[in-house]
Amino acid sequence: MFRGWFDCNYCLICHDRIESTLSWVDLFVPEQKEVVCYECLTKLERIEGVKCQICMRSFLKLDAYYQKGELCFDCYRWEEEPNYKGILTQNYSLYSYNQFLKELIAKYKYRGDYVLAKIFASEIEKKIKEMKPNYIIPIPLSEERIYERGFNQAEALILEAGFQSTNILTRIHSEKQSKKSRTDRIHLPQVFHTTAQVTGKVMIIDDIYTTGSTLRHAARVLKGIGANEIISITIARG
Amino acid sequence: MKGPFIFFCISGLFGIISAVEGIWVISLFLLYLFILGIFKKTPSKWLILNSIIYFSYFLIGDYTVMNNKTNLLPQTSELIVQFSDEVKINGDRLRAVVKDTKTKEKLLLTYKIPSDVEKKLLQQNSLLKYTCPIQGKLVVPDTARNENAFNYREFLKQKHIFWELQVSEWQIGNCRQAQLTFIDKIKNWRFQGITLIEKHFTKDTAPLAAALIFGTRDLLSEEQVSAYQKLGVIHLISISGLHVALLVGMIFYLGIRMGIVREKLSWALIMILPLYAVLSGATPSVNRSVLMTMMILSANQLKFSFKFRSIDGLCLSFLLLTIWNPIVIFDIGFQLTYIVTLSLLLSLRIVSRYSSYVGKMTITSYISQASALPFLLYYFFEIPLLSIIANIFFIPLYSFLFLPGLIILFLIQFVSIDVFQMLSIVLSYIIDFSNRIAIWVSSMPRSRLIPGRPSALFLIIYFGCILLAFYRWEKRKYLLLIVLPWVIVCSQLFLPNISSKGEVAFIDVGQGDSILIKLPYNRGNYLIDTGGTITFSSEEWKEKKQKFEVGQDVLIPYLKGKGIATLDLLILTHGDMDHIGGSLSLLKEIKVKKILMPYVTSGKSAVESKIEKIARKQNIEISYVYEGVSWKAHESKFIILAPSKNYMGDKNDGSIVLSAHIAGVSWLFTGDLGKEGEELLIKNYPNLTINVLKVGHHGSKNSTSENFIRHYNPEYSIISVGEKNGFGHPHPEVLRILESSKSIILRTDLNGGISYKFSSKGGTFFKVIP
Repeated sequence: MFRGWFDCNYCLICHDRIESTLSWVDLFVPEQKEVVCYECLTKLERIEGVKCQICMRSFLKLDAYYQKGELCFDCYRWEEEPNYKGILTQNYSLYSYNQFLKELIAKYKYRGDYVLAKIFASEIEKKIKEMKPNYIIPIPLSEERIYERGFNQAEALILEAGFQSTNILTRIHSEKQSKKSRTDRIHLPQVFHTTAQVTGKVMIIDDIYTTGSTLRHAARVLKGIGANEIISITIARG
Repeated sequence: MKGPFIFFCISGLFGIISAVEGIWVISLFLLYLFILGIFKKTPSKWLILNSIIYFSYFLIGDYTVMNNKTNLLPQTSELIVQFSDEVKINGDRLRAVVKDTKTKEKLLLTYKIPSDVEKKLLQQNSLLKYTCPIQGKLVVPDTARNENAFNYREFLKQKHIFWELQVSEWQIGNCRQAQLTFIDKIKNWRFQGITLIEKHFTKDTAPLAAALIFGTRDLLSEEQVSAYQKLGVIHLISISGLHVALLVGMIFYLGIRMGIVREKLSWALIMILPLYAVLSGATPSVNRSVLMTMMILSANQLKFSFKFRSIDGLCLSFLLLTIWNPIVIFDIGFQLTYIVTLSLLLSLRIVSRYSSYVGKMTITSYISQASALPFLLYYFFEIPLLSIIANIFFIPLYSFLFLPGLIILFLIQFVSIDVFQMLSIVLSYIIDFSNRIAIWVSSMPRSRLIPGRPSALFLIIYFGCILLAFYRWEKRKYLLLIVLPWVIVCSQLFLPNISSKGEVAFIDVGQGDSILIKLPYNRGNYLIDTGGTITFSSEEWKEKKQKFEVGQDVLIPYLKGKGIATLDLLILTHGDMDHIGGSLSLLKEIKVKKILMPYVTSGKSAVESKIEKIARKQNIEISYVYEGVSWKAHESKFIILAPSKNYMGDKNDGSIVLSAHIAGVSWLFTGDLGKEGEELLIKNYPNLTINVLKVGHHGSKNSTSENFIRHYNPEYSIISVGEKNGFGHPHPEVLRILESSKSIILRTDLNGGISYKFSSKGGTFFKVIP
């Protein structure tokens, strides 16, 4: 019984013992199992200040030229395209894609450190509860990638957050996104495919939001099968 | 669970408060459990454990309170008592905590030392464990005689003392010393150490050395203590957690330099620390920090599988000390040491955000002050404004220079007298310099805010705001909220301006007069007379270091407690010491806008001239008033009925007589007016209404003629007079006259402070001692 009093946790990122200091905030908020130490936590940068109303891109360091009212230039251009207008209503990214997070995500998805999904679980859980979607759909991997990695990093996030993952999208295998330019990405033939039907509010989960094309392509497919509103959550905003 | 101990502490605290204040407190505890369960989502097993702790502490508290009563008969006059190490000699007075050998009950012994020779004997020898037959009488210690005043009776009760034993016969030769235990020997070292300091150290270094090494403030002058208090650095001259941490640090540093392993050093420290606590007087702050340090050191040595944090040590030490004596939670030192340490430990995350030394120091000082704020206001009624700056300046000076310097100095006296003297001169110089700075800065006007004692509601608001401010600060949201506690201070300062409450208070200043008129909506604060302590010059050895002076010790705290920092009028009725003596210290601390003195041509008393001199220096207007002078403050009217202009004659009959109409009540304040003056009043103002009469001259037989009372027929008669005064005031004849006229008599000697409190709805008289 007494062991639980002083449970000693190790940081999932730096593996140091988590010095669980008791602070003012801890007096009031419900106890949470700490998975990351305070130092690492402070290295994860939240996106604060003025930002794009759709994709959460921060306007802080963005040239005024790339701001169109409440939207960033990218989202503005997406909204100009008749095929993609209003297709993604809101993206929420937990953190900005800094060097620290870049390494963390690489370790998570390329090097298969599945447990790292726990780092984001509580934040994602909080957000999903707030947005109340009817379906939570991970961006799928092609069979080949799944074989390579052993798990779908987006699906793992949903499961670790304690929700059910609706895996209705499949992917036609293609080159990695990160090897393509923006035009390539927009004018890509549809890479997602589904046979199911959905209704109401649908949420897509992915690891990184870079140009938003993956999410929008997936959204378009989902819109086609009956989704009313499509929102998304990603760990990082590139 | 992350930190169960802090919640256990809160539960334990609720338990003790329930035992002392009444079982209704359990509803607060249930609310607390409810909040823990619903909002903090504490699992039920923890809630159950918290409840168990609550009940255990309730039982311990209840047991202590039930047993905290005297077993001695009040008429006991012969006792065999045993002395403890708490002995204080102040002038020709000795006060000591002794234990009755029969009942094992503690008593406060007071003794008037008859001769210089005996004083020297008592000063040079420790009385610890001496058992002496003593004759004397048991007296109930003083209770608070004014609102917000210090309640000595309660204070002693918390130390399990119920009687003051006033010694009439004590043959020191008949005392026998009992066997000394090991602890007693350490207590004797402490005594000898302090004696050595008094003997060898210079007048600048001795008080500080005694304070920093042995934790006694007895050698410090009142001026120094009050200067440090005003600056908010009083914690530096009492041994605090900081000192213990520094000492431990120094020992570690030296030990490791000498090649001792850390492990051995730790165990050695764990053994030495309790002895150090005894050596330094075992005050609550010392006990707290020693216990906490011991636990942390042991936890590190035992290499637990879990991390034992400082905050766990703090909370465990709280749980232990409150089992030992639950009512210690009412001790000011205990409260301050725990609240400040807890706040600092909870703020580690906030402090770690600031990287520079000055930044960290500033934040730490701010946190200490903000968390202590409600306590400081409750006990001292004021807050030092310069505290943060003073702390940044004085903490390093005390920690890294004075403390190590004085310890080295103390040790060197056993080694080399030459080096000792050299070092002593250097340190004296620096300490003197720092004292001068402290006294100079603290005497700057406007260096303090005086909001007065906060009401219960305000206290709750303070605690709530402080929690909210720290919570937000840590969350980095609405950072401006960190000034919230100060906003509450400002609103407390502003409150009188919108308050419809006023009062006329007859302050119990012992033998003398002092009446406060506080008009609603801050329309005026008037003080009629200030009381005064008559001092007799005596032989040097009888001179007290800590002297009682009514202005400093009663009047100023009273006004501060009410949040009065400025007096619009100070009315000095006539030149007698017992009416105006307190002005001398009052003018130093409270801002006075205008002084009224009687327009008389007969000579001035020495005090009067002194006050005039101070007033001129401070640019305070003095107005010499006479019959007919009048003024209004909104609905309240004031008119002076005597003396006539250029009055010559008896000083008492030349008193300012003030008729006031406040809150629908007619008052007559007569100073020391005698029968002759009364006749004159009847003649000149036959139609005057008097609802409340301040009886002239403390009820002397030279005032209050039958004719006067019959003529005006006051409903209330208030006699401001000292308990057991040597003049026989009030005179039975005066009491008879008042009684026969069916006037209700209120006396400060029986009732303590008497106050008529009113608002727009009317008013009533309140007595401090019912």
